[in-house]
Amino acid sequence: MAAEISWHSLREFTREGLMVAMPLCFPGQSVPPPAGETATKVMALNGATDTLYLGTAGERAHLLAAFIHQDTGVVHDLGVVPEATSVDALSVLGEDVRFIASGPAGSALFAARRSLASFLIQEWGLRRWPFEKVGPVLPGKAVAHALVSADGASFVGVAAESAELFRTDTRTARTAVLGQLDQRGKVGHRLAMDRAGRVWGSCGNARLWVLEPGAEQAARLPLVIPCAAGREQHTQVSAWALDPVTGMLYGGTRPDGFLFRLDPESRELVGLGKPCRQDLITCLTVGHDGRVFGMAGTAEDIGHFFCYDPQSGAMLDLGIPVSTLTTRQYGYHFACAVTGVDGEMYFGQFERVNYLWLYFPAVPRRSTPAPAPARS
Amino acid sequence: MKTAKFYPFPHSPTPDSCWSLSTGPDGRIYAASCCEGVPGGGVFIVRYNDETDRLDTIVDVAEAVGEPLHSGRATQCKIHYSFCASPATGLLYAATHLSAPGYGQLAYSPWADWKDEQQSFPHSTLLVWDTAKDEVAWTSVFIPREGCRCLALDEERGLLYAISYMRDHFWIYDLEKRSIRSLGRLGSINSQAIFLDRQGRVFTSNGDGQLVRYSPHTGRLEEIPVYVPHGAGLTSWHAVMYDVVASPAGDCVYGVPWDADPHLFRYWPEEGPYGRMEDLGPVHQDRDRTLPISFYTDHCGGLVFGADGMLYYVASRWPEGEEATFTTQTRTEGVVVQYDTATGEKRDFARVVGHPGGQGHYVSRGGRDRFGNLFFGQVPRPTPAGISRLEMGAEGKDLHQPVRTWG
Repeated sequence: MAAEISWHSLREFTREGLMVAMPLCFPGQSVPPPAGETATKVMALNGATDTLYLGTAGERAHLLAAFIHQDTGVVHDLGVVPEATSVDALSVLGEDVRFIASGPAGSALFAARRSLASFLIQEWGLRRWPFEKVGPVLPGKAVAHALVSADGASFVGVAAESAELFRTDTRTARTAVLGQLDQRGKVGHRLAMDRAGRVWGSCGNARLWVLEPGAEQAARLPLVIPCAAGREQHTQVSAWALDPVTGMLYGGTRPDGFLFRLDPESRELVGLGKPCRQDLITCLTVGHDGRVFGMAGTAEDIGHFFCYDPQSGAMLDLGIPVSTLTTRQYGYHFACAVTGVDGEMYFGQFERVNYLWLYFPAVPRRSTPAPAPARS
Repeated sequence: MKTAKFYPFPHSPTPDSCWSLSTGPDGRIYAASCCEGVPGGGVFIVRYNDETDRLDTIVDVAEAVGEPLHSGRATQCKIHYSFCASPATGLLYAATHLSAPGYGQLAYSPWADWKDEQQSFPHSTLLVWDTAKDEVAWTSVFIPREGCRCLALDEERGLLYAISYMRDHFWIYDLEKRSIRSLGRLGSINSQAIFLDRQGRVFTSNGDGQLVRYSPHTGRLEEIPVYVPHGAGLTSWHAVMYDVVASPAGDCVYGVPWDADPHLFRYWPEEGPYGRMEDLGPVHQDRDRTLPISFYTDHCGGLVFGADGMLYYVASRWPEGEEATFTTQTRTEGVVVQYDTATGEKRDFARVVGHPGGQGHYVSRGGRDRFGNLFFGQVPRPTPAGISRLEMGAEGKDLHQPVRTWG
């Protein structure tokens, strides 16, 4: 058997389902934003229109809109965000698109027009409107990540360096600092929101915190997220995903790359293991069938794609992302993930040259029916 | 037509390829005897001895860098378009590459074995040969965990530029500090060539055949709106640069892509904001274009200027219509084409062969020695690999000048 191993049978690339890397442009009609400006940090989906918004980081930051359904198949560059090097948070509620972006002068809240597209096989016209700067969020300070409340009234976020927790009014940009999560700046740079609107994150030595809706202070919890022995001081949550059906939160850690499940109601935390050899879980999303998909690997890695099935408890390394349909590319490092309206998944690549990666999970087979009796 | 003389490599395990051949700063010809198809394969540096008319092995790379071929890890098995001559110092830089499985392994995937401390490729190694002292001057860890696909030297600034395999990053190595840094990823398919213009700007291409330029003046790495020419009906995908040679005046370069239906191109990097690209047409015969042809069959390389000012390159030829049934038994020809850059006229000038009755058409790189003779690195079948020497009958001394400073 061993002699059958060859370069052609190692199956180190996407082993289940199908990935397609979509250029960040209108293929054949426009070119992507310059390399070095397209690392996708955050994404948000408008479930009603199927428009996916992407916020990038790099020498300059862009807001992009992606369309894959109907006669679309295009990523549209909505423009460069003024004075920004990263888009850190997105709010897409109906026609209202707002985002927080950071640059050398600090962070600010912006508003954008919604983006819709159709008829993109012939006679198209895509526009680019200026962004409206609503106001500063944290002057002189960059934002790591923020999430919008279910009613769209406010962002809750965390500052990248100072570890300050803040709440920002999405209409006025008025911002209140709710405290500092850790004086040494040890804070997780990704947040989660559960079905009750609580915001979750990590700080200090692998500890969780939670902010109740409307609360003015986060509660530090006596919950230690999974980490290698003796490495609590280095460990934070680097990726979150909510299962909207069960209400469970799934988290991934840095630097060691463990996966865990958190029940926000009972606050039971269960370690689920390490999906693959790679360090650092960078993003997670829950599929329509309840399986959890994610990416692991640092910026210096060859990243791997993995899946956790809560039904069976199986954890599968799904291989190194690869795309061969329309675009022939390897994908090595990612930063965000979203599940789409039809169960497709979007993964935001975070390298110098980037694509929007779509994943179409495998459809489970029915059990094999008994063969029908032959008739003559 | 005359035929170049073939010199097989004498090493063990049997070398299967010669991916680097370069004129040294001393005007002699250096070549890499590579073995990538055998677990535990290694690379040797050889030099053509123009007094004895034979190849001298000057470096066993595994021994020189202290990485035994039996370690079990993926070996330092190739030098892949990564010789850079330094005329000012008399040094020849060489950076190693990966692809041979570790000793005792059946297969090797640099992706699957990434960061595996027992199996993976530890790093590309920079080896510096002092042509004046005839010894290894020094070696250093080069690109961590990846191989070096191609290399270029900026003598004035003391920098080496490299493209790594398989993450396709653009790297800058500071020779004084002996430190390396990545400016990020270019794409998924390595360019096989990286070169400098007279201003010290660095050029290569991404997987879409688009030129990528780095300026040491601004520190900026950018994709520019210039594409490597490609065959009609195909796209620029995979039209990465394969071999690029500077004109004798240094004001433009000539090159071919690593692509089906390769076209010869001429690029003037200093004209206008992005330079000017010229498509000089296909180098090969017509073929069945419904077939995705193997690049082993449809291959062009070995670009070198002769002392006569003519451009020479080696193009593969194969029996018409046999591209679909091509095997290593197919009777191919490697034809040295002479191209007059002033008129665009070209003619078949000589043949390169491998072993009698075998295939010798696949030429990686070419070089010109101090007597004006041409040399070509080959990937022949059957093995062992080797190089070919084409007597040019030139008169004069130091006819190797100007020396190419990229791989």
